[in-house]
Amino acid sequence: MAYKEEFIDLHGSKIQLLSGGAGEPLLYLHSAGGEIAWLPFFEMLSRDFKVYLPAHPGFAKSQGLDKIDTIHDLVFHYTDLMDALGLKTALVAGLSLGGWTAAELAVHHPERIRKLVLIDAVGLYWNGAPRMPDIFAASGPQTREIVFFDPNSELAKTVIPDNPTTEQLEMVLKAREATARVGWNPYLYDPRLLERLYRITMPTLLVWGDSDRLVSIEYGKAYQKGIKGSRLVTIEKCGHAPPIERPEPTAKAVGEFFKQ
Amino acid sequence: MQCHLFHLMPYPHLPPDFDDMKKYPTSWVIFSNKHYDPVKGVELYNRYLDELEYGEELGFDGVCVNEHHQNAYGTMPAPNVMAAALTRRTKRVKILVLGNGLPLRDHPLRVAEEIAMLDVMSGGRIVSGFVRGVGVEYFSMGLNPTYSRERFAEAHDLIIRAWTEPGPFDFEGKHYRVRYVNIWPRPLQKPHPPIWIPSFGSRDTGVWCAHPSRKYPFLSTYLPDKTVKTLFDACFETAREHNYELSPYQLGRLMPIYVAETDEQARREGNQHIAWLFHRGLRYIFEMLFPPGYLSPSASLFMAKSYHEVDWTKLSVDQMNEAGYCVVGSVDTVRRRLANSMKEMGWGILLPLLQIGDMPADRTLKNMKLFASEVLPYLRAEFNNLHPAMAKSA
Repeated sequence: MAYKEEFIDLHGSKIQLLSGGAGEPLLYLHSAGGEIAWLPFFEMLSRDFKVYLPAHPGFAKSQGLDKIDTIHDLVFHYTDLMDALGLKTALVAGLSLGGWTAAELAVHHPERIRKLVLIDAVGLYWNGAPRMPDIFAASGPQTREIVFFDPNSELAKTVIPDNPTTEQLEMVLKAREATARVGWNPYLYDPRLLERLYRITMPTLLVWGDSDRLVSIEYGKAYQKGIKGSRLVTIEKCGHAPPIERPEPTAKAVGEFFKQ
Repeated sequence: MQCHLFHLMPYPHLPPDFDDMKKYPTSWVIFSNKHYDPVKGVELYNRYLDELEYGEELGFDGVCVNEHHQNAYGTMPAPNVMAAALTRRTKRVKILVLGNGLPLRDHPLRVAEEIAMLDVMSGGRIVSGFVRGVGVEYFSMGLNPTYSRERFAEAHDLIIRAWTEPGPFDFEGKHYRVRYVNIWPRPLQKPHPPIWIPSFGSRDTGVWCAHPSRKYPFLSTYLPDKTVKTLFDACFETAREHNYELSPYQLGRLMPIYVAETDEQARREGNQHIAWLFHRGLRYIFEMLFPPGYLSPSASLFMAKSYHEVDWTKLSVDQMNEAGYCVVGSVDTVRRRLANSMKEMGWGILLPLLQIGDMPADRTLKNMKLFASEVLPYLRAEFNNLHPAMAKSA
């Protein structure tokens, strides 16, 4: 598995970046879980694309949470990072928190994104929206129940172990803090995002686990309705994290859409 | 020595199956308020205020109220309201608000104003505790816990300036911005009401309190002897580093105390209520007790790894009594243990919690009277022996 890890000095903050593969640049924005590891999903995509997997400020080994107050600060961060990487445009995919960030980036800078994929993205709210469980109050086992189609699978217990190592614990605590910074209140959404989705004009694919217990398919439908010409596909027997729980069909759906 | 009667005003009427931890994983935030009966509340509030007021008659130096939200453990979400009631029914004692949860307020100037009002109303008897609030309270208020520490620091600075600098002046912070800081009334005490810092067990907080620019009394809460000793040693060390001698009046211990005729009787009468306090009132969900960013990264990691040590639900009352989370025993036992603790740890402030959990009024009064008549004078004498130079200032 050929990928490299590096640290980008972004205006004084050190940003952790994994990258691998060759082809059109594909920027992947990770979820609140902080999946900063060269998972099978990234390996699959790296056969056709140059995949960039940066850790958001405050996640994993990235610094810079002190410059983040709202989701819009993450948009500034990612335009800066794209500049630093020399990416005038990119294919952008994001999962959950990363999907929300990608949607905001697309709203602010549609010209920087050639195609967009939002996977089980948070970020929206409307009167009567299905209530999302409180991930900040959930224990490890409860989080497995919320996130995975099969919370008892070997995979689920590896991703969210009952007895994490000190290093894993540190990553979890950082991920929780960096997620809470932008998503505590309002809870994982931007009150203005829904009404601004019309600004997203690039081809857009919405990918949803068919059994997402955190961000139900209703949110996918709301994105689809708001983004003109977008398409919504579901991944079977899959919870909130398709790239992790069902990498093959997810990479296939994402890859084919980007290649079209 | 200073001794201030502490009270939580708990709501004791829990469902009979409350020990079912699956059904009731916590008594905070998600424990439904349908279990609160305001009719019973009328009786409880009045009884609890009577108990605090009686503290003055019994010779305590002060009486304490505190802020907690959405729980059965302590029903004083607005401690300044209780303090206001006490200003009119007491004449001599200090009234200690321990404390106001600064980051939980929309605006710290409200705290500055309310404490100033209380100070004027009480003729300068207010001690103003500043806290960040328990982690779970960030769920109660929807307040972003990742800002807790910086909001506290900024609110602290704004309140001190509002109390001490002639207004109007402007304040430009990250979280609070006011063009016209100019509170009416100003507090009576000069330079301002004393600031005390109750803490669950943060070494960083202890060191911050002991800094010579502050010298705030640092109060440890519900901690076992060995942890308190470590924390207080850190305060002494900080003072030494800054070339001054830490006063015993910079260190306080808050603990549940039950005293009776014999050790056995004390256990028989007191243990059940202490069990209520630790096993029901303080029943928390870990992830809610320490929300994201509430503690510094290093403290978060430490707490995540060592939580079992403070998971009271796993400790029996006898174990807790032995370790010093609480003191239960005869007059002799309680005297000896508190005097030893005072001597070994160097504190001069004691905050006894004498109404504990579901302890009824008659037993509470018995505990208060016995403590005040048999234990307190003994401790005062011991303190004066240890610190003859301070004997007068107490």
